[in-house]
Amino acid sequence: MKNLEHILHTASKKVSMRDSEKTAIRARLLSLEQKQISQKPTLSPFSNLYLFTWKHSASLAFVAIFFFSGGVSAIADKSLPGSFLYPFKTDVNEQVLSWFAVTPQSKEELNIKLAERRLLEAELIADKPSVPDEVKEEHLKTTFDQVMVATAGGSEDIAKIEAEVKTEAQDASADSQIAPAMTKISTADADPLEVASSSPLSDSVSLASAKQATPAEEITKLRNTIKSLRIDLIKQEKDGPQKEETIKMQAKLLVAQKKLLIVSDPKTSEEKRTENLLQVNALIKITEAFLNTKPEIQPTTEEGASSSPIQPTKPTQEETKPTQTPSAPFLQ
Amino acid sequence: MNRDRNIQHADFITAYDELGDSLFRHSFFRVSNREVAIDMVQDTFIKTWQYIERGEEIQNLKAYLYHVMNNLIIDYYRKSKSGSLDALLDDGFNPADETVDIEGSAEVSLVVSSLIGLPDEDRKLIVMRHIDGHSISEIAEMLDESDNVISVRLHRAIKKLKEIIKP
Repeated sequence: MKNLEHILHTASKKVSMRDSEKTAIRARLLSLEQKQISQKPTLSPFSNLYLFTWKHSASLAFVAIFFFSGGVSAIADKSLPGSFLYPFKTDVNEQVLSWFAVTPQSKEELNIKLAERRLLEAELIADKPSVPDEVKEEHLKTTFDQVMVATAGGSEDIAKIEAEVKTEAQDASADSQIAPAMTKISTADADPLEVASSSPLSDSVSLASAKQATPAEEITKLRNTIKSLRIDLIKQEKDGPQKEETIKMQAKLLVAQKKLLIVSDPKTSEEKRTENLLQVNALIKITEAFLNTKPEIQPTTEEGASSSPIQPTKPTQEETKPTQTPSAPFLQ
Repeated sequence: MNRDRNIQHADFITAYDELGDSLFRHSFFRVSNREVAIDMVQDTFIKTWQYIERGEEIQNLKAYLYHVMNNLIIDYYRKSKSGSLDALLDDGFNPADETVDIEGSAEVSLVVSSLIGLPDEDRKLIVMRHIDGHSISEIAEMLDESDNVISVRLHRAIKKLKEIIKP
């Protein structure tokens, strides 16, 4: 017994850490201490509650500033479908915008704005190879949803025009000749449209006519132009190769129609009116150019969009040209 | 709140200087492997420090360190699963060779090679009493048992160890 205890005792005396091992661990423990020292001044006497926040105060502050100053939303605002900030843009930023749109009018305007945004995005991603096709397709769908929301908002006018455009397009395709279809629209269909928008228009005339040239006729003309352009687009869509393009054009024209409705609203401010008219006119021009280049493109797809010769056979041109020239003085 | 009353870093390092060796000895005779024992000493102190850092209060640093190390040893045996000498020998482990090489002492190699044949519970008591040099009542307090129980168990453990050494 005594012998064993002695053995154990001597054995224990002979076992110890080597100096190198000892100093290695010591250094490791000292480094722990140093980490602690750097945090030491931040420890308040009241404690552990503050420990977390103080420890991460710098990073927390940065994150907070970033969020509250709108850093994220500013960046997200420029994001495109497919990027990871895009949901932030649609779900957060635009949601916030909708909170501020309280009156029905401002809501309407916001919806149009958003529809235009979607359209712009659709254009921006269209020729980006980095964006996968599914995303593009998905985005196009949401774009149309938005356009529908924007144009449907509270007016039967659009619905009416829509129905007309559809029947006209069908008629036109049945005729296979564009010219008769156009005359039909400009004569027969001008009347119901006039009726539809007459009440707000007459108000606006009485208000605005004193200051400027009467916008009422102007608006109906523009409307008819848009309508005929849309019918043309629908026809093109059927046989044209650039289906997506025409669809987008259609959506833009829909938005333009909505804008015209706003212009005809007497409550709309003068600035807004001129701005909308300018945009509508610009869009009409773009659509015309698009329609004119279309037949040229068909055989070789791309090249020579702007330099293409104007087709005199195109009825849209004759139809829209006169409406544009009077619009110019009005807009000044 | 108890921060000021708690262990300061300097005290902690002093504790390492004083107790490091005995903790190492303890783990060395428990696990019979120098490298593992060194790692355990380091882990024990780091874990303890993290505990202190969280603002927890430790009444008795020495007892706490042994407590942490004991848990680490239990984990170690649980992980390796093969607590028995046979399994270790099967793995190509020869405690006698290793310890003779390392410590250059016949006593150490004898103790280690015989201790390894004991169950860890018995080994723990023997190491605590005869290697660490704790008194019976100290051990009883650490293990939360009565002095009597510890004496009896220790007596039986020593008996077993003798049987291993003798033949």
